[in-house]
Amino acid sequence: MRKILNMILRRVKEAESNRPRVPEPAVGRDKAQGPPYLTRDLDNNLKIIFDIAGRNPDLIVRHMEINLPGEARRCALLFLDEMVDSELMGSMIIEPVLKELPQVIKSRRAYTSLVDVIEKNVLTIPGVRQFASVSEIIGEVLRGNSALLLDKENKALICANRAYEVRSVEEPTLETVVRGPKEGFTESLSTNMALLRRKIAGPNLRFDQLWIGKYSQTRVAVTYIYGIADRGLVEEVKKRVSRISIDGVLDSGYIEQLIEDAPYSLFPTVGNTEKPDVVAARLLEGKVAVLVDGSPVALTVPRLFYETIQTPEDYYSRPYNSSVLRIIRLFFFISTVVLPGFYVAVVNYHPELIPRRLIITMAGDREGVPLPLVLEVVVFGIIFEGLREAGVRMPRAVGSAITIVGALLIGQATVDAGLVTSSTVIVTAFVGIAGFITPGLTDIFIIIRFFLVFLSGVLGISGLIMGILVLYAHMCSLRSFGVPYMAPIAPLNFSQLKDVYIRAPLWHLTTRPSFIAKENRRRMKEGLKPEPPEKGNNSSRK
Amino acid sequence: MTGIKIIPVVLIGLALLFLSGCWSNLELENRAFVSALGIDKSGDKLRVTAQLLVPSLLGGGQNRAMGTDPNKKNPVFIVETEARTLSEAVDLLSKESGRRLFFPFLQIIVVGEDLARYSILPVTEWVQRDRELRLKTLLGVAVGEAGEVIKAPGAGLERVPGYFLGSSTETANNFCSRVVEGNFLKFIKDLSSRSRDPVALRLATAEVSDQKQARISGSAVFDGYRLAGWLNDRETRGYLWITGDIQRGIISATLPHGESIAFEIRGSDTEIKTGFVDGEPVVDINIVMKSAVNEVHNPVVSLASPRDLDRLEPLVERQVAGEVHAALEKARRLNTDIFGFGEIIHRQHPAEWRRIAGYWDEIFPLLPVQVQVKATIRRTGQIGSPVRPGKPE
Repeated sequence: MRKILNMILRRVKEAESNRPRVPEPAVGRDKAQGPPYLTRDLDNNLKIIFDIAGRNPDLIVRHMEINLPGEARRCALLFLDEMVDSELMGSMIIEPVLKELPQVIKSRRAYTSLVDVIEKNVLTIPGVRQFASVSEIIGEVLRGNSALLLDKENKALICANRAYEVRSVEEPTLETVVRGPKEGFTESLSTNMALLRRKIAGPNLRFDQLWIGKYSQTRVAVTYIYGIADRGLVEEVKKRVSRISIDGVLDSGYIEQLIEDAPYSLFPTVGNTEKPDVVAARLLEGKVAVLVDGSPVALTVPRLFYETIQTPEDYYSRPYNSSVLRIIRLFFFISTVVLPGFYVAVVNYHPELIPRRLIITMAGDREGVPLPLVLEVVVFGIIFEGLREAGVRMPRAVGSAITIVGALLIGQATVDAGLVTSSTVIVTAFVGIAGFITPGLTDIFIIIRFFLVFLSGVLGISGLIMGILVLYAHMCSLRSFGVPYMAPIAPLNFSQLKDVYIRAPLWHLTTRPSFIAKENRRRMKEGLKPEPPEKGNNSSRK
Repeated sequence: MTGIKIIPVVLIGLALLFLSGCWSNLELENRAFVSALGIDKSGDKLRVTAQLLVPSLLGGGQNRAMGTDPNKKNPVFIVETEARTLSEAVDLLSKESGRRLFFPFLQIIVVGEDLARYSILPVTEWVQRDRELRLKTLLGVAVGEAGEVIKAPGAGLERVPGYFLGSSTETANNFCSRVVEGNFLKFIKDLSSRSRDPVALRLATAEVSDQKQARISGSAVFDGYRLAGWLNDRETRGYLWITGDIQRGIISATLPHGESIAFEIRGSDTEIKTGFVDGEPVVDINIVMKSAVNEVHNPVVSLASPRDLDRLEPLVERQVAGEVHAALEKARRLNTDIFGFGEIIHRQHPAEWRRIAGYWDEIFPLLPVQVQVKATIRRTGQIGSPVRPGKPE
């Protein structure tokens, strides 16, 4: 499989390399373009900048004149339309510069640099920095800050008054919870970082910022907790992320696909979530998160298989129900993958395994159904996936119509017309619903399902078991950032199973998973089990 | 370079999967489910009568909705074939039914009286050797022709006649204790035992609600492969008392003044001891049972104190002993050791058994058997003594 894919990829690459090269367009960061630093001439500076950034209608220059003693100093404010807070700009930049500055200059006889005076004595906006590099100034302006350029000065002041339309913090659509925090990440990296800061206020939360994307210049933050996350892991994540050289990063999915360990595997080895509390929990386990500007989905690594059957709610509610639910999730995960194959194998090869009353009903249903059972399962599975896809893509307004048509017509009418057996409909429906219980793997189920149905149709139960063995062996061979994918089940680490199939009581989970956090493993004081006051060694009464 | 090699290998692998065919893959609609099978002797050939299910008359979903009243039409299809061997006859059945026969859901094999009296070897041989047959399948002997039993359309509360026989046997085993276990596993185990003779179900047809229906009544006693005779319901229960296979059931007895009283069996334990008196074997049967009063036909009987209940115990004991003696009597007359007394002597006195084993056929009809029944009555149902009329008569 991998070899074939590789071969196709190589062919494509060869074909591409034969194509004549198109000269790459000029880019702001290119060192060859123009002088690297500002000159002391405002017009010249503006020309340099416009040469690089282009004369775009959204790049606005506000020309001003400052009445200094003996001269009217020209200056220019450079900013992007609709990317800045213009009210803030008026009251905290333009007004001070035009009104305060002449008085300040008047009041003091001598000053070394006008730029210094403006930064330190005049501007009332919080974030101000001096820049001399043209490329950096352009970068800041394009990111939504304003640049104040003065004539006869070779430095510009960058004022942080960035403000643009952001989606507010909402409940994520995919990972919904009944109990626990309901906020989700937004498309703004700054908001997301703030959301994380609110969960982990200690000084050890670190964001290592990187810029990825030749054209998109996307901000990417490698997030970890200093002192918990393994240094090697953090370095590896940063190495893999900074290796990326791409024209644009539009979503964290780009990063995910370029840093994962097993790009050919069906199984994802990079986790993702839209919930700050989930990221915080994983960071506290010693994992590393990657936040990407413009994407509400954070990546977390390493990602292990058992995360599939975990939900944040497992930890927020008491352990009994969580443990039962985890086992149910595992059962549904296995059934959604195996059941169609098992159904085909049993009905076509081993009908004696089915209870007598059921098999008679099923045999009665099969009379007059045109397709062989394997095709019936495959065709109906495809129809179900198609309906599901239509449900995701279609406009909200027609949603209920499609649901009714899908459920009633496809389900009921086909059975009534004798095109499909009702047991196949039940199996397909069950499998479809069961697949939603583990949202992390939903997108790979269809392939595995059909693989197993195909094997079962050809070899019966033995084929099914062969298929499962191949899958399981493959899962055991995977690694995610150095951690075995099936840990702690394979390799088996018995003491770590307390948080896999079941969720042990919180006071029992005193250490971080040993396969993720290598050094700093203690997460909780030993012996926090609540006990009656007279028995406890130092109760609250003391 | 590797890619050139890989593609043919993958293609060959795929071709292998498709071209090798699908071994033993058979769609459900190409199978014929056999619910009951009758085997008769017809000259020197065997005649097989098969009761096949018609799934379209039984299935759920669209078939039920199509308007055929399921009770009007018989949901089974009867086929008959004749051949020298059983497997050949079964082979021919596929031709007659147009589908491959499927046996795992077969409930009962009925053997005709003629064949049973001759030998049922072909049946046990085929059942044991064939891969699809289950030893849990019941074995019955028809009074007369097995074909008649298979063809009888009545099915009780079930829809398939064969399945009625299966559920009837199972229910009678558990709640009424008047029917032997009757499956091939038990039959073959007893058959291969050194002294024990096997027992099968006895089947007859009767008119039940305007339909001919097969029903189980009593049991068939075998002497090796040959049918030796029958046990009726009472004797069958006696047989079950001795083998310790009694589950639940009702015993009717007579009160001192001639009225009837019913007891429910609530568990029993049978212990068989053997010994030798003057070199001759003797057998002691000890039955300990618990029971409850279920119905009293005399209003003056008092059930108020445990002593009252103690006084009723001999009534049960006498009734049970009578059933046991009836079974013993019949077995002696047929000279078949269906209870396995020989086996017990062999186990308890191996040395003496070696001496008498050769004469067991002569010893068994005259074997002295002592029957002791100890019954305890603990419960009287929801009320104690029967309600007496308050008005003086």
